[in-house]
Amino acid sequence: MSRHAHGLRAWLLQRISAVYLAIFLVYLVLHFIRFPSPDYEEWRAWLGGRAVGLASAGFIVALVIHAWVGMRDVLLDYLPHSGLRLVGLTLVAFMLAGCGVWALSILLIAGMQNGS
Amino acid sequence: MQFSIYRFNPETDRKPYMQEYVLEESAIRPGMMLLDALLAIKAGDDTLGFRRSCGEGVCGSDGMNINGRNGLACITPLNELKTPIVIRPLPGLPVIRDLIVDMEVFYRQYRAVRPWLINNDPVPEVEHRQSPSEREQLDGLYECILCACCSTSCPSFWWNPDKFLGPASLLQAWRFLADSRDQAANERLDELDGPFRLFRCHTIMNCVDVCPKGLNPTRAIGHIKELMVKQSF
Repeated sequence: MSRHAHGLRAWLLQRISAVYLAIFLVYLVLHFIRFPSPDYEEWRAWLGGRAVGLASAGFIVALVIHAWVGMRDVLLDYLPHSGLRLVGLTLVAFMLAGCGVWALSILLIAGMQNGS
Repeated sequence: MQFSIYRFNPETDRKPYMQEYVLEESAIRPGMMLLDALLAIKAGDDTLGFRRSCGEGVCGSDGMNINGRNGLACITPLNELKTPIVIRPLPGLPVIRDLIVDMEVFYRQYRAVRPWLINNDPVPEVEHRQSPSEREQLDGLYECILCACCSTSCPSFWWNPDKFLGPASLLQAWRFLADSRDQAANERLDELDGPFRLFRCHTIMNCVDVCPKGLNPTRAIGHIKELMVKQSF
């Protein structure tokens, strides 16, 4: 992207991630209609599958990006003090990164257990 | 007919208050506009301050908050308003006196989009030519009268009036981006980028709702984003 775009890039990422989230959520709903209330082993096997694992990892990444842009918007809108804004943005970044890494590690473990 | 009008004189009042006025039914004529009623009230109390000029929705001087909604007093029919009619200054701008607000921040944002044609070609002898379809692109944009009803009804402008350009200025930004004679599209787009100037717009569309000229700043903002995306890839 030629334009060094904190505004445009964030806005585009928000929209692209929204499309992915919407498609994946439709898939999730359809899946759970077809296979309701799985037990733990079924969950693990399902999430450990390569295609579902990768798609779920994409979902988590898209969710983190989408949540980051949304939370950033809220903080930029409502926190007029630049110092507070920086603290807020840092806290949100750490929280979202932590949640993302945690969720991805769960997928990774499920995948490795499936592979072993 | 009852009115409740925001009053504040910084020289004598410690804080703003609402003053009640009653306009006798005999003073109300059919087809009367709110501005006529305000002038009648002012005839009885000349301390009441508000701006007005043309009285026909052309100059944009008498923008105010009428029963919770921004509009021009001169083209707001009195008989369409619920009583008591509550009148406040345009929200989000510093009050100078009563219904008169300080528009400096609004004009500063307007100046920031360089609302004039930038064309480096030699000045033509007669005029810069435009085809009818190129001229058509400016319809719905050039009609803005800068009354500030839109920008002062925009929550994003309330929170960041010094950083977010606001719907009125962004409509004008698109008016020059869309002009076939303008040659500064790239610089204009660069100036609009960043998290605040354009991208604080969350398509709330209060601007479209209140515009007394029926213009659509949200659509203009959408066109700017579209052009940015096209030019970026």
